[in-house]
Amino acid sequence: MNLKKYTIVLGSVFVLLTGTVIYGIACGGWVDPYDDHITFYNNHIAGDPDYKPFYYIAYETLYDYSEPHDPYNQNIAEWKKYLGVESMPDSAVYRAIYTNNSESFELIKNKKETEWPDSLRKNVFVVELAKKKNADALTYLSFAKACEPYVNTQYSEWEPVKPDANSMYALIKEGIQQVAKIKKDKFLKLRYGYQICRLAHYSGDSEGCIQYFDTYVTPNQSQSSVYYWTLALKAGALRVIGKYPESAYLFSRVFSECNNNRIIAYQNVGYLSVYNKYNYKQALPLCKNSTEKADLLAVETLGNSGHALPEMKEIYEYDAKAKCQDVLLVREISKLEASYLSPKLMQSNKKDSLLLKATSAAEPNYLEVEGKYADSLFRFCELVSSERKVNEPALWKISGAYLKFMQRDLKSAKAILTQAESMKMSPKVKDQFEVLRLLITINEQDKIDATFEEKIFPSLQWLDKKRKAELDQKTNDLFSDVPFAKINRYLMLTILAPKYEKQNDRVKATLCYLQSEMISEPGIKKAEEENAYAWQLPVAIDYLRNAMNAADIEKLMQLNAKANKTGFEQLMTTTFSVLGSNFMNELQGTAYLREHQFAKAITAFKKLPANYFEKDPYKTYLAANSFVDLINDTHAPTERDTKKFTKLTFAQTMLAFEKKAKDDPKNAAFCYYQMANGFYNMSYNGNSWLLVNYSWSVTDRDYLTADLPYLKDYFYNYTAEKYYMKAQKLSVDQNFKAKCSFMAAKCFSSRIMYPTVPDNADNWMERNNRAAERYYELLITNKYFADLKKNYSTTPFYAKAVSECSYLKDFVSRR
Amino acid sequence: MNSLRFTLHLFVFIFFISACKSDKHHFVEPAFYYWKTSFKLNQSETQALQSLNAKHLYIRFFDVDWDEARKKPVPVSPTTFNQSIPAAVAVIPVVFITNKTLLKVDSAGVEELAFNIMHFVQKQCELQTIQPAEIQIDCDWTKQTMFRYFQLLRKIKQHPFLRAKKLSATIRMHQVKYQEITGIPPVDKGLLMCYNMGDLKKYGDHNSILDLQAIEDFLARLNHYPLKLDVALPLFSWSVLFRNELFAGLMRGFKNADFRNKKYFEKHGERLYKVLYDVNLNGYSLKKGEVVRDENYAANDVIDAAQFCSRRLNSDSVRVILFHLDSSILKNYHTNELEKIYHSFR
Repeated sequence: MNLKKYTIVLGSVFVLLTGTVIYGIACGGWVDPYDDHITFYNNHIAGDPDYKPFYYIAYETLYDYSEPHDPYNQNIAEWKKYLGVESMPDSAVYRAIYTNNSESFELIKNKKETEWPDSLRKNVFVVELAKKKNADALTYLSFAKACEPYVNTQYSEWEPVKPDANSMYALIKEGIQQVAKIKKDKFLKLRYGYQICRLAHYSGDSEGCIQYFDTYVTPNQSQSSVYYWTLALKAGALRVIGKYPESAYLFSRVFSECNNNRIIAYQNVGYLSVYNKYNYKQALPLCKNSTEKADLLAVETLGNSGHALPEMKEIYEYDAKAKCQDVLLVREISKLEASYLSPKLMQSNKKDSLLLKATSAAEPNYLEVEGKYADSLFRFCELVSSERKVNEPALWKISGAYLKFMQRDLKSAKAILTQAESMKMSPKVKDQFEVLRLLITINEQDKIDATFEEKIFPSLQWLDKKRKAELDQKTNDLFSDVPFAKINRYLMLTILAPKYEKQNDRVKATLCYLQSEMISEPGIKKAEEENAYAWQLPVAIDYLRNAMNAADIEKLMQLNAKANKTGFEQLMTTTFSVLGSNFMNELQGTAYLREHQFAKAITAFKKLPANYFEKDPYKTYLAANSFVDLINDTHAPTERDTKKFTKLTFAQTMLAFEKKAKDDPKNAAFCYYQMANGFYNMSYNGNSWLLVNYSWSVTDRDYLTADLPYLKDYFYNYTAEKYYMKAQKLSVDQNFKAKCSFMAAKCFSSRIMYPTVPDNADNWMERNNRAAERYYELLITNKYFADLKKNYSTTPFYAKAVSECSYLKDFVSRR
Repeated sequence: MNSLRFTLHLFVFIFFISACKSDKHHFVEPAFYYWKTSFKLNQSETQALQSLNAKHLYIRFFDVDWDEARKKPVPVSPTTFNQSIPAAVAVIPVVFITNKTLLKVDSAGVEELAFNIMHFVQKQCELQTIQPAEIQIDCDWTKQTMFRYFQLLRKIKQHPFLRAKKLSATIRMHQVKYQEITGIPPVDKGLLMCYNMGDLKKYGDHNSILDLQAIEDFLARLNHYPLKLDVALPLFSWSVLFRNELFAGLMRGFKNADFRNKKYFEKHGERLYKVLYDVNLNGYSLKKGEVVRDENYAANDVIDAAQFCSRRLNSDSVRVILFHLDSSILKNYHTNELEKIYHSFR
């Protein structure tokens, strides 16, 4: 028993330590999404794609680790423009510049085209490069290739690094000589400057890198990416020599102006702040104007995982049109969704069996603090939207409305939304407006009826289309970059489904859960083939199996089969209608089995293919004799498993025994005994629990979240006990009666619960020891043990039971 | 009566003879440790090697410590080589491993760690064109980490780069005294570190770097140590600052003469000095009431320690390594004093 308690304790500790909202997501199959909190807000509404790496995400340093703009593509575009070959395919330029090595360039320079290998001869960009007019460009690219091995190295902490400083310096000198030969070509001069600075930086000559930049790059400044790549190198060199404010300032310029090198600039500002104790105020005097000041502070604020409103206000002061502002706003909204909206919604849904609660967020004081912050942010949104200085005031207005919604102030949210209606909106902001309008409409409605369903149907359909468009493109990683799928998910899960449940409409609640799943139609079909519904539709399948009784399932199937569905019904049964019939027939049959309606169970199971129960999990877990009467329960195979039963044959056997008990009273005792065995073995303690349940765990009883009537028998065996007593009463065979008593004793002991010991008790060990002793006492004090000893002590079965059951033995030896 | 007197004299003579320990003679290889993170010898350091005929240089390649965040051992501060190794000098790569690393790493991690250490050493040797005849592992292991450490040493020994080379390990004095508890490492030879013998952070009048009494206590059974030993002796010194008898830091650059300044210091023991007034000295800000322990020592102290060890070493030859090759330390010694340290073993 201690093992069980330790398992519970360890399980609890795990739950407490994670402190994360994991909304009914099963383990395995995909990477746990760290940005998965309850959301009704498109976090891609601003800054997409340029600032996507910097969207808010918990537990990760970046939302996306790839630059949204490919630096290779930028460079290719610049080369094409430079050589006047803009119609040339990018792939030719890429192969020419990035996949050829130094030897290839020597060939191009020194040999005739006819002497080149095919790969060069067939490359139109290489042919263009080899023309006399492009000699300088070819010389440069050849030089760049020679530099490559010294600056493109893989880092591994267990590899000693030794830059070949002498060779790198020789190349720097060569580069300087080449620059001197070029008169006016700023394109090439800039690139030589880049290679020179890069060589200096990676050879450890930080001072040199800075000087070379000022000499060879600054005079050739342009909007080229190469200029900013070199600026980042200078910024890095400044950091090495301890000039932290200068370094941070330049990194902020790279971040602001270069859309393919933002991540490294952002990370370096972060390192400066953490490792070099840099403070942005030190760099402010270096900024040429207010916009630069705004950009400087914004880079750092994008890494702030706490309340960033003070910084946002300062940025707004510097430059109301600062590029990152909208992204910073969206980050604050996302943070509040995780820290405020999600826990609040979960708390209000006490019966929710599908969630692991974030314990830290359950502290009322914590929610109060977050609520106050939401207020402050709301006021700032109102100010910004009213001043109309930002790029899109409507975004701030609608965000304010959403903040009011978070605070459950529907009246204010609605009023603000009405004010926003007349404002100019981009398509994404308009979409968010529609989502909020739908949200408020549903939340305002007390009871959902057919009329209301038709009223919200067009909006739900619109949302569903957006959701499908996102999910149908995905084969994996279903939780990333699918904002509308998520909005739909949480609308279904946390708003609509609870409303239906409150109305005791579990059928519509089921449909909501099905519609909430993050899966496309092809995905569901694939799940059926792989018998993986539970993984791919975890929330819905769990609800179907553990919240729906047989009558509910019947209604659900009838709704799906209905010929004239309403638009709303059509939409809401979209996911359900893709579930295979085998799944539903088994579900229905199992629900009937749970309710002991064997005839109806048989009808459902007969619709399944003949070999349905031959595969796993039945092959492994429904492989025992379901009518055996064991003295000691086990899930392991025993020598008495000479016959096994499927759900269908079990139901048929039970029905047969039931009929026979009525038709053949002489054998009624035997029939009831067999039925009792059947009832017992389909319980939690029995060898055939898979008949009525879908999983089994040692902690099931303690973490019970389902609430169906069958669980009374599943855990506590009342029906089995009743049937054992019925059998005993009808029999005159003492040995048989002894068996009935013993089996009833097992039913009785299944109700004895291990005394609760609070997990955080100071003297847990001592209390647990006492609990173990008490539990033992309760197990021994079984009324059927007394009955056995008093009335059946001379039977052969009694002797066998005493020798095999230690509890009975202890009872007997005590008295 | 005469025969009795004769017998008595004979006994006294025999006793006298046996009580005297004869000095042992060894073939001595002078050597130095190099313990900076950037290898570049200046003129006086190069000269020291030449004038003392020190042909062996033990260079710290990197430390290994436990990274708590990543839950694995990592290399720390690898030495960068800003100069090639002088032709006449044989380099012995040294890797220092923290005891914490050994406490945390598991048996699977030991195998990987051994590989990583040797991979790094091998690659660095290739880059610096070093062909070492010996590789040294430096670790102050304890009874708790003994099993894991010895496992690591065995794995290192199996690495191909160690073929035809010797593997040595540093042995601290407490590991000689308590050898039954801390064990004998499975290496080809040991290096006895005859310094850092006291508790640095403990308030008291001892010299934590070099203390002859401690040497006599810990190394009484040196001649019974079952591994061939080289010997390392200190040249460095520092001053230890205490505040309210609690360790407050190390200070460098102070000489014994500095503490004899009665304007600022009051002697409170053999080497303890109380600060009388707030004062800035040698770049350090000292406050009234603080106590400094002067851990300077003379070359003669090192020679005494060398002689003690020499008498108890069993082997015919010994490499004597001075810690460490740094001109700021060497300038406190005359060359002949350093020569006398080496000579103590001859």
